[in-house]
This record gives sequence, structure tokens and C-alpha cells, in this order.
Amino acid sequence: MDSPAPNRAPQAKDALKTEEYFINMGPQHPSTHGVLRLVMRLDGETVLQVVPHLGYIHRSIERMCEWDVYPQLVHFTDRMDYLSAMSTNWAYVQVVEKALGLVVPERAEYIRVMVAELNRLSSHAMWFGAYCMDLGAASAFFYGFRERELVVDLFETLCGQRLTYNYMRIGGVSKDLTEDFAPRVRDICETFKRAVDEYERLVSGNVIFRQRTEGIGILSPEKAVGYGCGGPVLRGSGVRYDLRKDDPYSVYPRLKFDVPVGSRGDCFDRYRVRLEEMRQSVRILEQALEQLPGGAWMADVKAVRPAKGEYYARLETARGDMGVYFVSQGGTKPYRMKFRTACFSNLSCLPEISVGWKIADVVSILGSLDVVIPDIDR
Amino acid sequence: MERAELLAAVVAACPTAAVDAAPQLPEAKVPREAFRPLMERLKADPALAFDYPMSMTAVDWPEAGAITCVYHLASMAHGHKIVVKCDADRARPEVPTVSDLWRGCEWFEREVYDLFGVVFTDHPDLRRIMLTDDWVGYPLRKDYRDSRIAGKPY
Repeated sequence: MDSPAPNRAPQAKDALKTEEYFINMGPQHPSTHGVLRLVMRLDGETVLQVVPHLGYIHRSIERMCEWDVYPQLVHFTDRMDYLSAMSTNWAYVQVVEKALGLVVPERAEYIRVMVAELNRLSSHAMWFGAYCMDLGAASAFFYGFRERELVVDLFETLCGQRLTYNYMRIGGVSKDLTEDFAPRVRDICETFKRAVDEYERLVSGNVIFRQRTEGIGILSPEKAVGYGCGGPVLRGSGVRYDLRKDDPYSVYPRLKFDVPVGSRGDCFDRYRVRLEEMRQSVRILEQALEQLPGGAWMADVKAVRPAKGEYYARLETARGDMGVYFVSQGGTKPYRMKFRTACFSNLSCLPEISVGWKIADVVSILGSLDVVIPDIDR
Repeated sequence: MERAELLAAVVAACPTAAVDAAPQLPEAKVPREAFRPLMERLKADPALAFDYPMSMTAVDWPEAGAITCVYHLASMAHGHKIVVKCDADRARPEVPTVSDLWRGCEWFEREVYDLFGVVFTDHPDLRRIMLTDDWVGYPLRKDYRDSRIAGKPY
């Protein structure tokens, strides 16, 4: 089952006289997961150059943020990485809390950790399904969605939304946990333990899957760092760097978990890292449930007027390093708000790592980067 | 490296830099001529080893007549972070590129070029990244007005 696939090297141009041509992939193409357009310069089926064209759903969120008061900006972050919106919510409220010097109640911190990890589970499960579908394994798609549904249903009970949660507030979270939250999370943990093993049995040993991912789209550790990649893309290349451990925030230092890394930096490594991360998220969830304190879930926030200055904070979303930078002039609205999103940097390495591979491999490489287009375009 | 030590190293490499240890992250503001040599030093010096481009953006200051480019850099090996700032003249904004030092800055700089109109000299592929090529104006500049904006700034 685990026989390694032959490592296909990028094919060199042979002696035949050929003519280069262009293929336009997207902006409406299933494998781009949204509105991304790739212009590919090809020699036969071999990719010579990939030029991504972004901005099809650029909404200028950064400019809109300059017009609203701080507490009203949370919902914009839902509309960036909508598959792990809890983390993007959190990235925003975290930096404003730092600017205010606000102490968030411990219960709120635990709630945030739990919803962020649940969101990581749902996001990775969805990615697993979508990636396998990109590679032609349609049934795996339904396996991923089956487990994701449990998490999304739980979030719907918690805050009324399935994707755009708008759950975090500056100083805490908008609502306390529902009574059935803990039993349902335990149920989700048990389900995911079984499910990840099932995913592995279903896909990891599959010869076709291995041949389409192993040795494909190799991203060296130096390049991954230089491009500013984060999350499973960075760790798939063997760089053990996780903001939850290396730039710790919230109550993560109290929770035990491992940071899985790959060894070769190919598509298969990025796949393995995500699957292993799901197991680690389950571990975090179980500990957080054990440690969950009672008390308030929201700090007493009077007025949100950060002192004049500049602030930066970052955290680990399901896709990597998300940073928020803002400049305050002391008023109720930010002077400038910048969202540094994980997908933007993760996608920027695509032109480099897809050269020399076939068109179908570009689909595999793009899928393995797990990009969410609104997160890139903002 | 500790905050004070880090900024001392920056001043040693670039005497014209104005450093500030008070903000949330240590800051160094450098004039344009000294910007590129300092960035090369930050990347290459093994004691500093800033290899990770955390973020790069710009802030428009119309009263001061400047667009400030803001670079957030981190070091994987040492775990320290720094903010480097460089002012571009608002009338003719030009800043040397650092995309050859940190490949991730290639797209960050394209975004700043697109939305602020800052030209990064020697950038390998300076095109608009979000907006269409024929877009008029730079939307993140404070004086940008557009009749198509639904919500008016209030």
C-alpha cells in the first residue's frame, strides 16, 4: 500500500521543434476555488510560466475600514478567509485589544481557542474533500463535507451563522457557549479521530493520489521562508514554525500539542501536515474543554479609542500567518488598516514552483496551497 | 536579540536611521539613500538574519507630503522582529525594491504600487495586482475620490 510512487522529474524541452502557446485557466474554473485567473505559457503540456491575475473580488476592505468605528469592523474579517473566519475575526480583535491594553477574560480566551481549532478542523476537512476532488477522487469530497457539517452546525447554534460568524468582539466573544456545546465538541473530537484515520485509509495509500502529489511542486524551506509562506505550506517544507508555539498568544502555552512538519516540501507533504494538524487540533480541543473556566466571556469595554500609534499582531489561522497592522490617530476609527493574509503570501510562490510541471500538476500544486481567493483579494 | 541591542545594531549599520524602542515593535526610520544598504544588511548579517517578510505596506500622510512604506520583518532563527520605515515623496514616490532580498515582497510591493502609486525601482514585474490596468488613481491614498463608492466616508 505504501509503495512510493516514481518521482517524476520536470521534463526538459526535447529536441523537437515546438511552438509555445498560452492557456487561460480561470477566473471561472473549478480548481481555482473561486475567481483566480492563471495565464500559463506552455510547451506542449509542460508549463513554462504561470502568471496569476488577482483582484476579481477585490473589495478594498482596507479602505472601508477607515470609515467605520473599531467595533464595526469585525464582520469585514469574516469575508476574507471565510473558511476559517473565527481565526480572522480573532486576528483583528486581538490587535485592537493589544492597542487598548485590554485584558480578556480567561473564559473568552478558551472559547476563542476552541472555536478557532474547530474552525481549523472544518477548514482542513473541507480542504481534504476539495483537494481530492481536484485530483479526480469525487467520493472523498463527501467524506470531508460529512465531518465539516458537524462543526458548521455547532457554529450555527453558537452564533447563528455557518460561514461568516462575526462571533468575536473586542474584549471577548458575543455570546457565551450554549449548554450543549461541550458534549457536542466531545462528539466532534471522537468523530474526527475516526474520520482522519478513515481519510488516511481512503486516500493516503492510493496509487493515483500518490503519483499526483509525491515529488510534485517542491517548495524548498529557504524559498518558503523568503516568500513569507505560513501554515501548512511552510511546515510542509520542513520548517517547524507555528505561531501558536513560536510567537505564542492567548492560552496556547498551556496546551500541549505537536507541530507536524514535512520533509520534502511536495504536495504530499502539505497533505500529510494538514491531516496530522487535524489530530493535533482534536488534542487541543480536549484539553481546552478540560481547562475551560467559568466566569465572564466579555470584558467591560467602555470606549474603543486606541492611543495614537501603530500596532501589529498576528496569529495562526488554518492557512498560516495572518497579521493585522493599524495606525491610530487616537480617534474611534483607524487611520490605516492593513490585513496581511496567509493566502496572499502562500499563493505568491506558485509561479516559481509550478514551472516545468504539466497542466494537471498545476491543479495539484494550486490545490495543495489551499488558497481562499477572498483572502487574497480582500 | 533584545530590543535595545537590535536597534543599536541598526544604528551601527546605518547612522542616519532614527530608531525608536518605545512602540509595540522596535522601529527604525531611514532616509531613502540609506534604505537599501540597511535592508541588505538586515538580511545578510547572521546576528540579525531577518529572513521572513511578515508584512509590507504603506501609509499615506498628505499633510507631511509623504507616503511611508512600512516593512515588518522577522527572523526565524532568532525570533526577533523589526519595523523598518522609509518615506517616499508624495509628488514623485520612489523607493528601491527589496523583492530580490525577500521574494514575498514582490507581491507586497505590487500591491502598494497598485493602491498607493509608489514606484519600486528595479522591481522585476511592477504591474497593478488588484485593479485593472487602466484604473485611474490610487484608492488607498487619502485624497482618492470615486463617485461609484456606495458608502460615503462619514
